Amino acid sequence: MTLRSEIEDVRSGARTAMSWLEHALDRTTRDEGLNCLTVVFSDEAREAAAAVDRDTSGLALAGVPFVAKDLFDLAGRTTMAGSVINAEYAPAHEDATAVARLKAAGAVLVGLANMDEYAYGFSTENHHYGPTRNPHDPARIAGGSSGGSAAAVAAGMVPISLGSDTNGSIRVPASLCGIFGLKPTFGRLSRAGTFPFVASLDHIGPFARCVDDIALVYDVLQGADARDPACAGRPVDLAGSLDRSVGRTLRVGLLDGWFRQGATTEALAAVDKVASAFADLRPASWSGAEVARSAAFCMTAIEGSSFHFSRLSRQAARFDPAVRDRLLAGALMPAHLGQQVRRVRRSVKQEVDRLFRDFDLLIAPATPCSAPRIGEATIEIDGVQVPVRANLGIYTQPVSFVGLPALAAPVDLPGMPIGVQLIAAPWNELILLRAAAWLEDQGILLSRPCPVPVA
Amino acid sequence: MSDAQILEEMKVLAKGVGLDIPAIFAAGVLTNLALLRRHAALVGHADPVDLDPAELLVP
Repeated sequence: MTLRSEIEDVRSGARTAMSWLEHALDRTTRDEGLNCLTVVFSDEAREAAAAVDRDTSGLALAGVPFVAKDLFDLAGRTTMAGSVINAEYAPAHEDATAVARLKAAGAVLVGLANMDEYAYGFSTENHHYGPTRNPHDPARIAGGSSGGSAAAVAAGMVPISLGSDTNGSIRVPASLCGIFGLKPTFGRLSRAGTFPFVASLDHIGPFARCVDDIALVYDVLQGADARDPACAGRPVDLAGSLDRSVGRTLRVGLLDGWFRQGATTEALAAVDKVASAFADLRPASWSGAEVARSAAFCMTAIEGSSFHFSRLSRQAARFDPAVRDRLLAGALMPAHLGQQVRRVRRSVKQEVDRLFRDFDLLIAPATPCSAPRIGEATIEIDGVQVPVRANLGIYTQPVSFVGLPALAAPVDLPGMPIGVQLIAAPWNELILLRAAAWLEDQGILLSRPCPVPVA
Repeated sequence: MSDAQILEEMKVLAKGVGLDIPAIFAAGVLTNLALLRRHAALVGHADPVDLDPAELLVP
């Protein structure tokens, strides 16, 4: 049953928003040790569902339960962003724009989702709130930093959720949890009312279990917003009812070089399966990808440490140790490096612009491997043991460094889930969604039901 | 450089930016500093183009 048909049931009176919510609350409060959410808003959610049931007119997401990463502001509540330090801050005055838009469309906020502290990590092994476990194997990580948002959708607790993506924090957990995650073009969706990490790289976006659900939420989230100066004033580009036939005609590039190095056989199997579906497929070379990844790494440490500097200088011991050590190291880097990474970004963008003269769509792995085990400090890439937290995003970082839209999509393969990235030129999210819908129809992309009973 | 020299360098760098990094954090910070420097070296050798202020944010 698609989300659209479930919404239609609420709108027609065949089902109530309240019954949908109670099902979601039952799943989220039991949780089965997955540790997806940091807080559940049972009372507020019931009030919201009751309001939807009184009047569903004009509500595009009538009754849809959702969760948001714990860095989206909620009016009257302090935004924790996976930290304990933030507890001393004042409550937010208003909801984050994305949350407000979903609520205005009739969606019902169930709770806030666990994350890496201050969004700095790819594992959601939060020092303060515990690790979020992968619904496909609770001994493994969900990925991060939006791990709670992804795991809640993968486990079937809610059909949609909100996350943020600075270096891959939507695409990595989507890949590891076997669901869809959209990181739109930088500036497409408003970040107003989200706790920042790296303003030059921060994006927000939705998770869901099928392409049509992602498209439905994406349409509601779009629109200019004066509250976010980086939100471009572009016309809304609605996905609507997706044209699912265009995949065959796209000029598709299979990214080589950096995007094949270090990938496990499972990651390569995923991209190759997706690539083989396209008729007009050629290898695509992005020579600056490795430099882009390193520049994103440096930009994150430098900007992130600058943003957190006062907290680092006064309360370093209250940070998650893994986050603290990375931020402190960033604070010690020379100032000229910050200027250099911006100059490099412009040159990388020029190369990418040239690449998209020849291709409509690029394909790359989303993660180098499927989900590592919880507590595993390193993964092997190219025969070398490297830190998990820093390296699960080796293929996502170059993409977000230049703000390209990308959809992480689950490939129907045996074993633990793993996804690919579909990447388009700036402002071409609809190409991603249409291509993914076509691949879904071919049986290549599939969010497999989660085997873990959330009884 | 020896570990002691690296630690001393970290203390000097930290002092320069107004941070007092306790010794118990040093090992983790130094590990990450070494990783960052490897990335910074790659970025430093890249062939960038001049910045256009109008293009700083929007890709």
